[in-house]
Amino acid sequence: MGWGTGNIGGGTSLNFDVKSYATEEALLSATPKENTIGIITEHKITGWVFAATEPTEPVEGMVWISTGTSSAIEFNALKKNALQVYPISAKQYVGSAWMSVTAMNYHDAKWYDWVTYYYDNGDECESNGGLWTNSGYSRSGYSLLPPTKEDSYILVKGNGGSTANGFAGKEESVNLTDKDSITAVVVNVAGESGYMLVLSSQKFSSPTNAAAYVQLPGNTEEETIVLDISELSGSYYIAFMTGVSNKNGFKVLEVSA
Amino acid sequence: MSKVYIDSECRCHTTNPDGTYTEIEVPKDFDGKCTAYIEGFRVRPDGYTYTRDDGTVFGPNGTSVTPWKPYDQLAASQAQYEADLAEAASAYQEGVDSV
Repeated sequence: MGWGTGNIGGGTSLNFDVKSYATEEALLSATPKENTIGIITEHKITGWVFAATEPTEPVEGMVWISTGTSSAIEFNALKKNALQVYPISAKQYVGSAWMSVTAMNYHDAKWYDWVTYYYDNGDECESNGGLWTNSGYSRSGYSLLPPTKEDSYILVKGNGGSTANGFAGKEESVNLTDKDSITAVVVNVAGESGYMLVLSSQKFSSPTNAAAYVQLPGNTEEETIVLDISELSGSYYIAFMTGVSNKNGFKVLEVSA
Repeated sequence: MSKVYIDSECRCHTTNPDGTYTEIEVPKDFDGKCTAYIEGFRVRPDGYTYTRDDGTVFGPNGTSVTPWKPYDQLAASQAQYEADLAEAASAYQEGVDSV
């Protein structure tokens, strides 16, 4: 797509605007035009470009809005006709390097995050990978106990035995091609070790067929864990698992990418 | 695989020629994996951090294992490795059986 200049709307034909805000607070308190893309940055935006791949001739201050084939906040970029745009993430060229910046879209008088949620404080986000379950997953020699769903979190818990893992996985695989990181907000109930977030191309059966995983911190504080998935393309199953003998489990509050 | 090392960005190496890498415990999921597969991963031990090329910092909490090369390529390398092993085993057995 095209190259636009400055914090200006793209003329009469474009259906969106790109504006900078110094802080998230400033962005969230603003009420701009419909379809305004708000970029949180302290650096002047000298222009913007929508592209699926990194621009080859960046200039200082340029914002690159990477696009894919799906997005949490797709929109029509034109006032007349249709040019559907699927923004994924935003970066700004600062000091000769691309730096990630937070971007949100203003739609229906509300700011929307560009993040895709797979679980959100009680909302199983069924449209993104289905419900959370243990069904269809397996692990040789172990049973996988289903998750307990509470009002605002999922509890993943073993039974303290030697062959029962607590388990919670999305029913369906999700396309992570355009995602760089997956984030989870968790609480390790008793600070036990051996809990993990796992991504696998098949329904999980063992860590040996995991494409990526991260172990949960061994404290009882609410923690945000982030897993680098920039080299994963295609669809993967998202799942959480306890180790054997863990019996207190952990709470999953949010999962997003 | 007896030993795995990580560099300052937690990328895995199967040798340590200059002695500058850190030896780590081999993750169980690396059992049976070929060198090309292993060396396409980062293993970030608990307490460590690394910085991705776009400036995003990962860690320090919780050990993570994640590819830094395209996972599709790593999976393909592993599949070829396993196919080669199977072919070698089959050829060996044929040789044994012919005696």
